[in-house]
Amino acid sequence: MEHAKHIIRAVLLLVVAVVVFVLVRHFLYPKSFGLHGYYRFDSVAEYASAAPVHGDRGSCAACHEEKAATLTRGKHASVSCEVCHAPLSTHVQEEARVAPMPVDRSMQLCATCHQKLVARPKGFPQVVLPDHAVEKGAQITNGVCQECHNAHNPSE
Amino acid sequence: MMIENDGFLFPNDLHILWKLMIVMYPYVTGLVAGAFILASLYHVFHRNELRPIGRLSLVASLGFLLAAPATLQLHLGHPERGFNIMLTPNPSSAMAMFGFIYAAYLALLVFEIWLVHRVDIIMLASRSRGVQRWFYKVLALGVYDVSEEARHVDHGVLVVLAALGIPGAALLHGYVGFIFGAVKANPWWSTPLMPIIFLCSAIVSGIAMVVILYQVGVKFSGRRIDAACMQSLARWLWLFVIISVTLELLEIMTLAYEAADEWQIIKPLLVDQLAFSFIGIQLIFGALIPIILLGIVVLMSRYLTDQIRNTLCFVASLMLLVQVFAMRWNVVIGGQIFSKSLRGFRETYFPGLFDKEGIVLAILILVFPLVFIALFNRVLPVFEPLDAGNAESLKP
Repeated sequence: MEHAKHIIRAVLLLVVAVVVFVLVRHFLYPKSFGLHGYYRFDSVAEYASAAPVHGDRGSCAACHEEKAATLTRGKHASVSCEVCHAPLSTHVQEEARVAPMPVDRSMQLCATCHQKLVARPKGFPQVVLPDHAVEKGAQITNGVCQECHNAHNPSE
Repeated sequence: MMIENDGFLFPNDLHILWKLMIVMYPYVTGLVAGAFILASLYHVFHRNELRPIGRLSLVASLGFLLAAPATLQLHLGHPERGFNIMLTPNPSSAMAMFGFIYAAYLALLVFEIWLVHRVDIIMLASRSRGVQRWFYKVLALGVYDVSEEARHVDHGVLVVLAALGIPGAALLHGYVGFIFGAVKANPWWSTPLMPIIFLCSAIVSGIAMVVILYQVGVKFSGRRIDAACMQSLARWLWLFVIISVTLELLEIMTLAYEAADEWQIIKPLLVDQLAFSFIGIQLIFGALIPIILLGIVVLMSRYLTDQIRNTLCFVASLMLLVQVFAMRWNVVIGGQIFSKSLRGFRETYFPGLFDKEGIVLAILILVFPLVFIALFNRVLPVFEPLDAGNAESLKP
């Protein structure tokens, strides 16, 4: 053992590292973890008390009644406002307007539902979007779909 | 970019979620495991002709090991949450085990590299002055015993560590293969052969990487390439590339011969969708040609000059590094471009240049270990050991 002093020190160092890890883990281990399943139970209360980020159509209708009514009449009735606009809290906080509401007018967004795909139901309006745009003589730019289609009521 | 699809796809099969960094992950860990197993051939199995790369392959292994988590961090995002895998790992998830397998392997590798360099550390402590001297003294853990007996102890521990390291390396990389092999919903991944295929190709990439590092490193340090070492590397590389490619083909032959449901999609996957990266790169450019080149080195050794042998090995190794990368690509990306319907393909994927999972970051991840090796070499030699001589008299 006389000539194994360095090995003993190295092993001790390793043991110290493991002990430090166990201690660190002990202090960092979330207290409520695993109480009701494999997650930190405190996070439920944290999320419940967080300020809402999203709103529903009712919240939007409070100011934009006409737009909400148009949307409800048309084929996009089941599409939430926030699908094309941003989450409500980017625009309104504590019932006051804080910033203009962004709109996503990209062809990609329309493609999410309307790109031709065999997996979609037959009656669902679907096209190969770039071809469709070219057929109609439109330039493929941001907002090209809205040139002919009203996003709030596509059948108008 | 518009999504263009072909055939029948389930609507939730439209996106490739495991991107370039998940191709890099098995690639980088494969280099780690391969280089380590190569080092073990010298340290455990006493293939003394491999002595010139004994240290280099260990240090290279450490360099790539340090780079490996970056792939997962980039893929997942939120690096500040990464340590949670050590705090609250879910025991039912194979992926959650990565942290522990990684940490154990890192400890083992550092311990082994320390032992290999211990005599040098003591020599350097005795030769240097000031802060540098303190640095080396701390590295030596304050023990300056370089007697015959102490070195004998070192050797014994080294053999045990390296012997533990072989199953360790196999576990580290076999585990990565298992992550894919255990996805039962994906017929291109789900096979018990996957860990073994991954491991063999890991060894191929590890040896190929060391061949290149050795040749380049030797050039920079003004030494000569050891012919016996290069010949031996070529022989091991040849053996493992043959095993690796055979296993890869065996898996496909089984799928083709069984011609079960999944062959309907795997056949067009291989011959149409992945024609370039599978047939072109993985089989022909990356496997067939290197097997021929290395075959020349192994079988016609006595007719070759050193320069020709070195060049053939270098070129074959470069091609094999590409082959193994293509293999990882074909597994990871190939497994995601067909739908779970087994009846349709989504448009294939190509990484962006500056994306979070893009080409520039992937290159940086591969460059990091090279910088690490160069820096390590400034602290401790990765090539020939310093002359230990009368080390005992140099006790600081």
